[in-house]
Amino acid sequence: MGRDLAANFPESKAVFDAADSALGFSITQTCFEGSEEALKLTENTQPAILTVSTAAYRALEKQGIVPDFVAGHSLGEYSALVAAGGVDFSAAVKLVRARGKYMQEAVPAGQGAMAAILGLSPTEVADICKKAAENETVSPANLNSPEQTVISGSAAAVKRAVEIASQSGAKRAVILPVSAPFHCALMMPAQRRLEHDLRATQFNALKIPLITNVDAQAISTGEEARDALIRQVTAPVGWLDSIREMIESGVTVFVEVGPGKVLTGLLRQIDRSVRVFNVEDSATLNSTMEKLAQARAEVREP
Amino acid sequence: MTTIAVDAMGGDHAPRAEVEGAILAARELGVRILLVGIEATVRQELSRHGHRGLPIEIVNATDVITMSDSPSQAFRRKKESSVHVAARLVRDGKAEALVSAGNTGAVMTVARFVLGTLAAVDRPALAAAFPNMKEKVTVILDVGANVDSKAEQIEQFAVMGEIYYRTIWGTKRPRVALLSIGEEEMKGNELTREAAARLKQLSLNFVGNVEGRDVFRGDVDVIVCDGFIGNIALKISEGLVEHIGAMLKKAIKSSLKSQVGYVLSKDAFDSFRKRTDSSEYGGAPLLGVRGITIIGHGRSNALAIKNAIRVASELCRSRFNEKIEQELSAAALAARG
Repeated sequence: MGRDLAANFPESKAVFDAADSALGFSITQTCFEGSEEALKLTENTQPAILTVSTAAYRALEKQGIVPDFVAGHSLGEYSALVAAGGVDFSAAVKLVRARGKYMQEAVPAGQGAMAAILGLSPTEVADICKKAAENETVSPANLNSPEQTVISGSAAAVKRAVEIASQSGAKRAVILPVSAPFHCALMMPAQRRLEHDLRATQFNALKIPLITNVDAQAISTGEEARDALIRQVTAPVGWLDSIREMIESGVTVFVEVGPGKVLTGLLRQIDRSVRVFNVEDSATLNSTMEKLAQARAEVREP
Repeated sequence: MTTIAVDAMGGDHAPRAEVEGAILAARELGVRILLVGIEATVRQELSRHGHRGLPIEIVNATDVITMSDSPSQAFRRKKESSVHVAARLVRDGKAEALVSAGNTGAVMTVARFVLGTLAAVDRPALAAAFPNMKEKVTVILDVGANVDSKAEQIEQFAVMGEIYYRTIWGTKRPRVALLSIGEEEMKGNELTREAAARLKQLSLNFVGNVEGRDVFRGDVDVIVCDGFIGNIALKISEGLVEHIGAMLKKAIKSSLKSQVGYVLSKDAFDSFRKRTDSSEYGGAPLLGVRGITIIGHGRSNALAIKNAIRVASELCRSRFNEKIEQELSAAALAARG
């Protein structure tokens, strides 16, 4: 992934180069040619996605697009923060490499799990987690859409929650193939280690307001951004509320920047009235630019 | 009311089979049909049938993709073909589904690139229904939308195939299997071994590997494989049915005794023919594209077209694509951490 961006846009190519020199190895090679297995390792996935997303953003920015808000899902909050100028890309790519490593090491393999619960409201899922916990950890981890919540915790408790959810009328409740239980209390060791790194990193005032995962509220200072990234490791990703906050603030057009179109699909589930485009390579950049021009023309002549 | 764009110029019997199928569908299924094709031709065919009061409209397209066009050339050079126009109707929200009995490769290419794929779907897959010994059907995918598939894509095929089976045949927990050369996990090639490992981790009702001969047994509901193998399996089966039929006919004609026997057992032959007739199943859906797409056999008759429209409308009503996006997006996001 990302090869097309690097080949077509010098500002994207510069991002890949910066990532390689910050990390001391070629994440570019992992992005372009890496095996699925290599890309699946959390400590590679995170810098790879941040690099490709930032490369895509630089290409979009070059076209003169300046967003009114930025936000990112979990790891994506780092991409959003780089876009907003809150942290330097080279620092961010090192942070997420460490973040991936810490998260992976926080819980021994096999002890944690995550599951998707579809067709129940976030509150219903939270109640189910309470019932299923039995002194172990299980809690909502990704509040993705009105009908899609991902839970996280110790393997046995997640399994119990899945069973209760199935009996309580969930359309689907499925264990997900992930390597560790992200965004729950079991991640506390990772949060402490990452906090140390985050405090040693320079954060700047944001040029674009960022909606945080932890509070679904706009922030503008570097200190707030750092605090949000620390708490984010053990807290649920409030994606549904973040999107709603932006829509309430008047946002009608969203652009997903980075590999894949997962958030684009999610947005359509949250609100069908907003428009969503994505940018992950030169083809999607071109079509998004065309559609953005159309959207603007429509706004001008109501 | 669900609106379905039907490529009126697609099949071997176009536009007659398409027009008749559309009329049957509009009358029986409560759907609105946009017949897409060369207007004069379609209008003439439509005028031969009683369709007064039915929700059927004609949308003009100036070009036609033929069975001999190469998919990539048809996609790039015939932008005004009925398939392109129908796909654009779906893309622009004027119809919810596309039904075509035209050149399979061309329809797949146009659908994939005009409509795009769903979030979290790498590659679309073509799903075919096989009648089985348990008087039900077994769905196999991918039967030819891709030549090479990765294990991760086979995993996505399984999720899509399982939702498809639940939606159309109503089974609560369809049994999902992987096509290989033996039931034992260690058998197979690198791809099937990696795919099996992934499928075991999903919360699907994954029952393990099956062999080619298990396809018709009916012990599993959904079989996944890469498109290369799936296409060969499909074509061998179709060829076998066709040739066994021809061989039987020849043998029956060879003596008076067997001709009398045929007359006596004609009902059995007819019911067998009905079970193996692809028109009863209404074509193969291209799963994973943004907009329901059903591709019928080139030989489709009116009944096959009607059934393809029926499958399309059932998938639309059940919000099939939303279900796929929900399931695959949760996994993709969680894995990013």
